[in-house]
Amino acid sequence: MAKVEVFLPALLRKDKAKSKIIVEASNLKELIDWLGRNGIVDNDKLFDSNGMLRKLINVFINGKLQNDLNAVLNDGDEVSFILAVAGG
Amino acid sequence: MQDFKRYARQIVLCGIDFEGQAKLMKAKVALIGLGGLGSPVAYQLAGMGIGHIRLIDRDIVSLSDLNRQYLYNPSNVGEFKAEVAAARLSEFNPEIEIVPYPLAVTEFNIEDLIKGCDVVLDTTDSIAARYIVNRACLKLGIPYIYGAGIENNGLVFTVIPNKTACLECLFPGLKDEDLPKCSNVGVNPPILSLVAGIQVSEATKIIMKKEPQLANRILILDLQNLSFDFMDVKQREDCSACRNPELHSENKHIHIFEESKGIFYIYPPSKIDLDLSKIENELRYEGMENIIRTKYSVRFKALEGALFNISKYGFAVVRYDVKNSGKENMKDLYLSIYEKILFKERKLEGAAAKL
Repeated sequence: MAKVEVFLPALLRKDKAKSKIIVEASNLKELIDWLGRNGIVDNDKLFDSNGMLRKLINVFINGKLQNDLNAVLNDGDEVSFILAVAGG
Repeated sequence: MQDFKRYARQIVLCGIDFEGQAKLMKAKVALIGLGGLGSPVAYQLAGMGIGHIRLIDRDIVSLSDLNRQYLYNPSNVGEFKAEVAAARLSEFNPEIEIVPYPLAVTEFNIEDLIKGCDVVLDTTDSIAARYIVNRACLKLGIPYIYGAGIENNGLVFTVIPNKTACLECLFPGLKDEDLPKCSNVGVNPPILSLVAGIQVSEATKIIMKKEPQLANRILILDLQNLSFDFMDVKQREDCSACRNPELHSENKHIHIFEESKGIFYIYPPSKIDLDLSKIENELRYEGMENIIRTKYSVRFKALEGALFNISKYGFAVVRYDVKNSGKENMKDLYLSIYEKILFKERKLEGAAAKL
């Protein structure tokens, strides 16, 4: 298990969740499961009706785009969930 | 110096001074999108004295725009935004040059629209258009500033071609239907002013040859909790836009795109520059009503009360009664009017293609 820092934008978080938290997980899938189980994120906002990560959600590990949920996490990694926005 | 008096309050800033102001006054900037973000961006660019501003937008003013799009008044409803904005900003700062382009950005016209600019600010509401602008900026080597806002949230990101991550390094492979729209989920007007101010700050830094703060770094704004978060981003080695930002340069077909029920856009074959006085005569001959011609467009009422706006570049917006929106032949009818008016004496290359 790796200890990583996670950034979650307001659009994904449940009301009282903080934007930055420390989570222990081996890979992205475990991390996302943990966020859902612990009431940090709203799973409906994260996944579509087929259980797939919504297309507008982009996951970055240390600033590099990584949408493979099997991606392995290492101690000290920064994992950010950024929602693409086109509104202008 | 008389020319600088207007800008005295910004010239005293050590980050600008006379040298920076001179650069701003010589700068050429393209602003793409004149909605909620584009309005405050446009006012700030004009107010700060950017010497040449190209205003590009495909839309016409609607009543629901007026809570946040400060360039427009109720009397402008139904007019092309680009044209109204140019008139408003020319009054606001008569010392600068402002050129309106009432049309949609496409991969066929984007290079001509932004060529020669020092920086491009992207404030559109379409990811498809944003990808086109991003690629054209990469191809032409023009710095690109992405700004977006929805609900209480905003994003700002600066792209320096060949040096930093681009928009597609960050958000690849999206379609507009994948993303929420302001018309569905809403937008809080103050977030737009925040995003706009930061975009303009990035643009002026680039013009004055100073380091932008959001190259390889995205700013994530949240007005609800008033948080400003940053994330460093890296260029993707497999980014198709960075590797090959080619765009198609020629289009020989008319395309139509339905924005929503009762409104659609008509995209002309590339590089049209209409003589609007001739178009007006043609409209009168065809018996169209309520014809109003301006420097950059003509608008009129056609059959069944449909409202047409046609820009001098051949781009058209057609609004018609939603009761008729289910009738497939209405679009064909209006497309035929468009073709008849614009191409009566021209041989149109290729058949009209529908999207």
